[in-house]
Amino acid sequence: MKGTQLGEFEELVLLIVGVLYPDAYGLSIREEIINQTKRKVAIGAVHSALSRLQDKGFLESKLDEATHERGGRRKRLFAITVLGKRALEKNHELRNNLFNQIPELALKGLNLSGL
Amino acid sequence: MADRSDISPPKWADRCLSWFCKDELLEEVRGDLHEFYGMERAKKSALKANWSYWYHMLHFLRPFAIKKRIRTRQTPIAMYRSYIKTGFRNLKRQQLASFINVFGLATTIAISLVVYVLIDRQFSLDDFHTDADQIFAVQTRIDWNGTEETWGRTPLLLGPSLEAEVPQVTEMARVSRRSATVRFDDNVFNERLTYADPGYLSIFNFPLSQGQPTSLESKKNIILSLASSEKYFPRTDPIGKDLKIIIDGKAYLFTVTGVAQKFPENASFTFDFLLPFENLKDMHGLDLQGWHDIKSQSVFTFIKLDQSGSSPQVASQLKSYSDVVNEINTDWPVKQFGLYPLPSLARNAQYVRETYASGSTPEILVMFAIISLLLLASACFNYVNISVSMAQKRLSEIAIRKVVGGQRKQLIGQFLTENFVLCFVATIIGALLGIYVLLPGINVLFSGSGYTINIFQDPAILGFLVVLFIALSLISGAYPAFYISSFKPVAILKGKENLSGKNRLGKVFLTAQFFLTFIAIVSGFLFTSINEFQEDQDWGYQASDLLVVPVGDHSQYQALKQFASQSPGIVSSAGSGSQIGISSGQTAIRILDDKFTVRSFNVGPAYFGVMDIDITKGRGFEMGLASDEVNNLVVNQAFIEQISNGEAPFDQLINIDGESYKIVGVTENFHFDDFFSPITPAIFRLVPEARFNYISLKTVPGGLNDTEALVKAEWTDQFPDSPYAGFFQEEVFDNFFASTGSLKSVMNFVAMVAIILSAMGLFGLVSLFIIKKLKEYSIRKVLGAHGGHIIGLVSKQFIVLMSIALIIAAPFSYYGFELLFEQMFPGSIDTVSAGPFLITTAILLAVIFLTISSHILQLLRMNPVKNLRLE
Repeated sequence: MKGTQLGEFEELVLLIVGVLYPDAYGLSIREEIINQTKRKVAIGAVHSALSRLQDKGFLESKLDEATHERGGRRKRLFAITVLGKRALEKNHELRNNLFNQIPELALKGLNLSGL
Repeated sequence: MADRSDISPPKWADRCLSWFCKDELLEEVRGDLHEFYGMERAKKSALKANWSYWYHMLHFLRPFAIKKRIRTRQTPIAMYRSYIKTGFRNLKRQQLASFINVFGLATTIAISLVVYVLIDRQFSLDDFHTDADQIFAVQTRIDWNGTEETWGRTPLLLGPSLEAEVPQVTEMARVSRRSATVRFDDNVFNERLTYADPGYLSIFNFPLSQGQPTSLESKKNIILSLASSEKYFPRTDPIGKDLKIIIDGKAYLFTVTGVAQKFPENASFTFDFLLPFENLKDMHGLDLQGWHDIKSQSVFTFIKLDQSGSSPQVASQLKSYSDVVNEINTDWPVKQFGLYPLPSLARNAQYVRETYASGSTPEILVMFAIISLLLLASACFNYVNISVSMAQKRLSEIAIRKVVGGQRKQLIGQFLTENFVLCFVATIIGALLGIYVLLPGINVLFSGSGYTINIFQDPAILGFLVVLFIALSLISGAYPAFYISSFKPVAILKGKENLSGKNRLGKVFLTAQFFLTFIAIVSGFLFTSINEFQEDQDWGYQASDLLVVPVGDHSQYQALKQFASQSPGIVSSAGSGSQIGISSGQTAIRILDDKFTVRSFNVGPAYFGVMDIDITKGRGFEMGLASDEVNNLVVNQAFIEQISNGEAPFDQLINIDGESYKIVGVTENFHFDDFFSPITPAIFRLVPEARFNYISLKTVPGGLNDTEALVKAEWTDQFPDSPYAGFFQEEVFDNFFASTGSLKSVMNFVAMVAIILSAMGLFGLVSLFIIKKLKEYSIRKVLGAHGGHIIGLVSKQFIVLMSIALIIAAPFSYYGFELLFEQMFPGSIDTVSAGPFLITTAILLAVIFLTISSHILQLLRMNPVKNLRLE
């Protein structure tokens, strides 16, 4: 079923929307991504992901007041939907589960070699 | 805080974004980008911030943000049927508007078609000759008393020498045209004969339907045109028959050995009777040997080259021949002989003195072409105006089509299809109108033109019609189609959409149309007044009650003179060698060391009296005065003014061909060619009766027709061998009047069409205007405004438009026509006066007033409540 999967970047955006709540909009999300991950992201890429997430039903949005810095234009504020929350939880759970299944030994060796 | 203008992002990037970005995303995206730009500007230079802005803007070129172009399949065929059907229904429902559109377009199409045919014929003159680009006329550049002129005539020996000495010349033909009397049994007519070398029929493509072209090599053979064969030998086979050709009373027998096929319509020269060239020696006394000076004989030379590219080489070889001629011909030295390509010979005919091919003046054709283009433009204006105004009635159709999923593209397609239907109808009507009404009309007006069109045999004309049809459809249909289809369906259905209030384009069109109409009407009046001016001109002599009979020899003159003295209907008679308006000579004279060329008339002593030419100074010729015959001259006033500086030089010696003459009298000026040409210096010389070619008979007032019948009977009785060719002096300028008269008719027709077209355009615009203001006028009416007041309200702005058009058109046409008339009729300047301009203004005002009041009357008759109640 198309549309229920959460891509890596999508998941990142979705998480950040949650972090920034209730002030999550395109530009602030981008700033936060850059701050938190040091990844270079184009504004268009963020908008693209937001639009996809909204299509999948993980995000909902509403238009805010217009501000002067935006040349008198309104911003679109995003919030996580129930569906979005569930998808995040599922991903989180899956990851934790998988992580826990990794044998100690495997990680240890890596840790050693990392040291 | 930064100033607002300080932080506005690059405009072009912003525009670019709005162009491709989805509408629903645009606001937030632009907002984000704007905010981002503000932040960037706080940290970086404007240039870097701009770059960054562009970079991020372009990153929105992703599928999610780009506007979806809705792509549908091409309009299905079935829809076109629907379009055509609704198209025809609309034509039927809006009959008046459709009529105006179709009629306007059809008339202008017909006019353009005819103009196209005229121009096409003019430019395809003589192109039916095979290898026309290898055929050249040799013409003579000559120094004619200081001015260089091109003459069509060439020395007799030039052709044979070229053929023998220049290798590139493959064929040569000399041609000369003379008039003579031709007789077979009872058929006796004066005809024009064409004497030509045998090469004539192989250079030019005049195929024979009977006989062989080579028969021209034998001296006593003659080849007829189809027309003259039918004239002399109706219903009989002419081959082998003997024709009698009579020149100066001497008869020569020729055997008919060939008949030409019907000549093509676009031949600028043909022949009636084709005879071997060498007959010129016996029959007209030409010395065929030697390089005579050119002025005494009228012989044309045509050559055919091996290829068209070798003309420069041949032209350079021609130089040596002018030296040979100039040894004999010292008075008017030949500058050079030139090669003139056959296809352009007729077009340039007017720049050459005496040329073999004849063509009409291109100025008139250019004028016609411009006129037809302007009329076409005018009809298109109308179409645009009217279809936009009529679309008001179809707004709901447009809205419904859009609501049920019709796209703008489809609507445009629909209106264009309708337009194609309408233009198609108009083109067919226009073509029929052109072929069956206008062209025959032109043929009547310009007698002898005889144009015919066969669309299916002439692909060029068919192509012209198709191109015209497509161009008209697109030009006239594009604006209405795009404009009408742009309405928003919701607004229409809510009743909010109205045709945009300004309609500036319509007004510009109407102004342009007033401009064109103004010029057309003015030209109609001016051509009429020129025509009248010319008809009212004093001819300088009395042409009424004057019968002129050409006489072939002395005995004929004497017989008619005898007859004239006995008949009571003839008041007086005079013989002459030349006849004013018909024939005259060019004579070179010398006064001291100055050379002049003057017109010369050879007359008898009674000529001035019979023609009623006033002698203002000195005397006319006297009967039996020997000195008059030898060395006295009478000159016209122009001679005195232009050659003798206003004084009558009675004791001045004038040298003509080595003889000395003295002026004994001065006549008033009179017109001898036409009214276009200014009167030039002319001389009269007294000649003996034996050299008379005409006898002029002055009849009692009103007795012209009776006298002619008597004279004719007497003539046929006495001279059965010669045709009677008498004419009325009044009619000598008839051809000339006919040509300006035809122009007048054409221009008046054009003016009529222009008036009708602009009235139609006005009609369309006024109805649009009134529809929009229907409520306003209804309220005014309810409140007690009377008709005149409303007419005034409506007319005001149209009169403003007209005034603008007038202010531009008046000086434009004034100077334009003055220039044109100076070119066309140099004799009649000062005919452009204020009168036509005032009358034209009045006509235009009347048209505006009538069109508007016809609308308003309708409005006034309506119950205003009906218009107001609709809401």
